[in-house]
Amino acid sequence: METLSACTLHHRFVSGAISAKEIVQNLLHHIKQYDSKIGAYLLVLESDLYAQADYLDEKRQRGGRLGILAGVPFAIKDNMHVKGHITTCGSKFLTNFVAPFDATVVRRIKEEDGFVVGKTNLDEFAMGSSCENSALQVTRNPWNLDLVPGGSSGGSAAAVAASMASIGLGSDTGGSIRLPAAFCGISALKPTYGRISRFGLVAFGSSLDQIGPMAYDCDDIELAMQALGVHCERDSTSLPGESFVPVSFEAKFGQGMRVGVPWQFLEALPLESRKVFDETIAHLKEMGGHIVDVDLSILKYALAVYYILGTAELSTNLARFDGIRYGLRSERAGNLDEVYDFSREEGFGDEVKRRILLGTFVLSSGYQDAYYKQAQKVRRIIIDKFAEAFRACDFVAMPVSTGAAFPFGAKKDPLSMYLEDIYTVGANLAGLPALTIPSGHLEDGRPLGVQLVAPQRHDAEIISVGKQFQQRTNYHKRRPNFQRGGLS
Amino acid sequence: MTKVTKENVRYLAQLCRIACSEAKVDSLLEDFQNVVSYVEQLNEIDTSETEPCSYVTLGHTETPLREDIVEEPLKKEEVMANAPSTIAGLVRVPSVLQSS
Repeated sequence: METLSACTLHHRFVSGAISAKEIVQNLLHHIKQYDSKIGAYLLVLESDLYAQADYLDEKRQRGGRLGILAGVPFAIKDNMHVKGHITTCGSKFLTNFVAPFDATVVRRIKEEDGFVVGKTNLDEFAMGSSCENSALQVTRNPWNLDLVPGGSSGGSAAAVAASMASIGLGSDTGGSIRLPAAFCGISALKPTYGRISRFGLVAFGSSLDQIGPMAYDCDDIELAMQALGVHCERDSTSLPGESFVPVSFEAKFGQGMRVGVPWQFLEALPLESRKVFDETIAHLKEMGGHIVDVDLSILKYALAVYYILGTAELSTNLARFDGIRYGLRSERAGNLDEVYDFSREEGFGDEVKRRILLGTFVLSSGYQDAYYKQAQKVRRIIIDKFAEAFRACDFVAMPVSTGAAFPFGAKKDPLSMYLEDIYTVGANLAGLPALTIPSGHLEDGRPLGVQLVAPQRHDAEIISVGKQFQQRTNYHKRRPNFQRGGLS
Repeated sequence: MTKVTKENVRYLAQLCRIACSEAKVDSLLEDFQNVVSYVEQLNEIDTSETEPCSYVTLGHTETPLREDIVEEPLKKEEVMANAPSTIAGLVRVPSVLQSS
């Protein structure tokens, strides 16, 4: 099956070259053929898709207004609500939970005539960097089934990489959109904090979480942002005022651009990844980029800050899973205390428990100043250092991760898994937009990604750079070979 | 370096309401100690002149409130459909007070 470019598919549908029903039939056929091996979807909304296709074909025939996403299939990470369907968060705690309302992002997709294809796998409550923490299913990397797809939005990344959706929605608290996108060789945006509504997203770290699109290329990312980057009055952290508006590379950077690179922070980058990154820098130079050395050495502390603030927030957010109103209730519980204690013991996996415990620790009496408050202060220093860097450059370029996708079970101790996010967490701590694009492949074919990190609300600017980059390069066009050797 | 003990882990598990077998306490302890030691590197940084940061959106200093307009709420049956146990449209829980 050819790649499912959202923009192409939309135009083909609008022009009548393909019907909505054909789109759905082809897509479902493809999913049935391959997803048993990849495991991207936890649920596929087959009957909803046919109903939506009939509605769209009828609407086009009678000349009704078609939304900007008409004909575009979306995969939704299973921590966002689609009314009437499960939201499991990849957890045993929520296997039976049925969402009573649509997340704002899902409402926007429906309003703009997109297809909601299904719910995709994730690390439990989005906590993880490989997708191995899902309590429900294994998701494999379409480039090589022995490798993890990255996490936590591994299902959405694998679905897009394997052409089982045009656009995947992920959520990114410390790198959960960018890391799987890089591991699966696709483009993705972690937008400015507040750019996309979080209403209907199950909260993890409320000051860090951000929903974003994952797609074949930056044209598709831009299309998704036009539909999703709007103010939402049901999310009090939603950016007020103007919606996302695309900008042209020519208008913004036609006269040149200043690209910051934190060379000192990247000292530990392994040689093979460094080679790919140097190629990226060469491309950016050819695009008119003036390379500036920026000092972001403070980012070596970002992961420690993230693990204190992120766990503090998640331990608070996950307090709502008490076994009373929804989700799992332990059958062993004989009294109210046991409902809490046993339901949470049975419902949460090890990583979630570890993080709740850590969050409870850093907020507990006697430790709060030493850990939580100190982390909040270092967060401010990180924000200030980014602001300083952005006085010298328009955006910062750096790798998404130190290496490419790794085999299942390769990162056994939690800390080595946490270190996968060493380059990504900074953007979350400072609320900055970060665009990931495929930037090359290792000798064994595994893809790598680069991220462009910009000041707040400069989402459109980095997308314009990404689009220009993809006009000059072919990295994003190389697709996994999962139909043949990869899946045999 | 803060030394984490089994006692600490048991106490934290109790605070966050997760029942924890002794075997689980043991397995959590080592990972927990490693992570705590890792995050303590933040103590190297002088923050005596820095204010803590809890909000990251630039130029966004207050929580906006939407207009207080009456809307159609979710249907009670739809919301209650997710409750593990109900009685007469209410959530049922095991008895809170035990008879002696």
